[in-house]
Amino acid sequence: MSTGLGTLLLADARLPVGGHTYSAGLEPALLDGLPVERIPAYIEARMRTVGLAEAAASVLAYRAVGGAFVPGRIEAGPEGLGVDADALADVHEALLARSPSAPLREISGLLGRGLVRLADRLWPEHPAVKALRTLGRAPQRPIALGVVAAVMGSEEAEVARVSLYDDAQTVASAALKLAPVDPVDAAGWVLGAEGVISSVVAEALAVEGIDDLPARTAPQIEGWSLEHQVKTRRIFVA
Amino acid sequence: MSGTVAARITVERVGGRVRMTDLVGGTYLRAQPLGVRGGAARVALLGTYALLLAGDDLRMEVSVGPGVWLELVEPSGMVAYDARGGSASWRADLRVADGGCLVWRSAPFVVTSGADITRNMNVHLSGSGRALVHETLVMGRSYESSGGPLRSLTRADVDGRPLLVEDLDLRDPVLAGAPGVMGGNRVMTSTFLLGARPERSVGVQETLLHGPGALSRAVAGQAHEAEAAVADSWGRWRSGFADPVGYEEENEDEAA
Repeated sequence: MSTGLGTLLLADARLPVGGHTYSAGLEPALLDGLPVERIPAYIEARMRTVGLAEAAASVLAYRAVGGAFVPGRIEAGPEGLGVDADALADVHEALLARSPSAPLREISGLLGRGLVRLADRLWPEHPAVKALRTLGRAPQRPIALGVVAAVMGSEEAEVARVSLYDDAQTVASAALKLAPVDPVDAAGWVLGAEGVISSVVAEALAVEGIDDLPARTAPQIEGWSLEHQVKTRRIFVA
Repeated sequence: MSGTVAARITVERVGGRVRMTDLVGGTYLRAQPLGVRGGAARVALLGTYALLLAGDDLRMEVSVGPGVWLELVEPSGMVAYDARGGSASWRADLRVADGGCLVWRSAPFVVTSGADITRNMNVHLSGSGRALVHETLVMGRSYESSGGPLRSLTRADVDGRPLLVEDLDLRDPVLAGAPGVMGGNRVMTSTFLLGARPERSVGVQETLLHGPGALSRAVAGQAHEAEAAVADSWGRWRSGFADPVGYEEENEDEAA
């Protein structure tokens, strides 16, 4: 039963899962010369590449732990109602294969660890959380996000939307710390991404399994992440 | 697109000796053996005409048997021409068996403006099999500001488990030129080390994959800049993980 509160919590930067350490690649992008007025184009590019892959992985993780459970439609697995730990591990592995950049996998694991810690404390006995724990202490964030959303009763489309919203909002709020940007303009960028987010949500929901999990490559985003990890003076880890 | 013949290169051990048991150039290529030395074989890939034109469907199937080292040599680049409303495709399926090694420094793949091309590279590794593959994608010839549309898919797996999946989708010019994707750069060079993992990555071009593999990549305005940025990775990984010497010696001992 969805109250919607869980989804709001996942979209809230005040949730103590470590999101403030991450600029979604904006810091290295600006250091490489990205002009401030191109940040909205950067947000859109993220949505359509890495954003799509992550949102779709969250949706598959959500489904793997029975998030889409409707009585009578999905059979209960041995781990609990619709929870399939093997399917969850397959989604995690598929996402890792789509994340060639080691520093980006690392930051995703750090953010995933924050969600695991939250889930461990709030729902230690939940079968979906137990399945998540089999992936280690720091699973990739989209996988942990899908599981936590399932446990909190979010709906499928909300999972994809919160994943994309968070990514766009991460760029926008990091911009405030990195460049002379009016906070109102930054909020406008996120709202301006609504159209692309809606279409990417639809794409993510249409994904049926790991074989068609999107893997859109953003070579510059990867490259920036590699350059950033060797920088000594930086505000964000990635 | 029907009626075209795939190029097939199969190299395996027969009675302890390495043999090119299948060597078919197919419709678009000529496969020319350059020789066998112990467990190591070399084959040249030559284009039969100016590639690729609208409607072309180039396919390659390469199979490296257990304990065999194979190098593909491509002396001239490949150019995908303006398809004038049509499209073309290029597909390579590479298989490397346990203990085998494939080395392929492919020639630059130039996608001229108007060429609508889908490129697919699949690498299937078994056991300790490994592959070192280098590719350079160039969007547009030197006097063109862009090329394509291009979609380039890369998939690698080890014993059926996914190692690397990439989908470089440059079909929409807005997304292709967007910051974060190509950001106005025409060239992307990648060296894939698959099936072996260096201890650590060196420099800002290299990254270790989650599984046994590493990637060295550069995007740049010009091909020589991108090539120069990953040249060190190719040299180091080739001598460290894809050296033919071990295969050559091992087999000469057997022959002796």
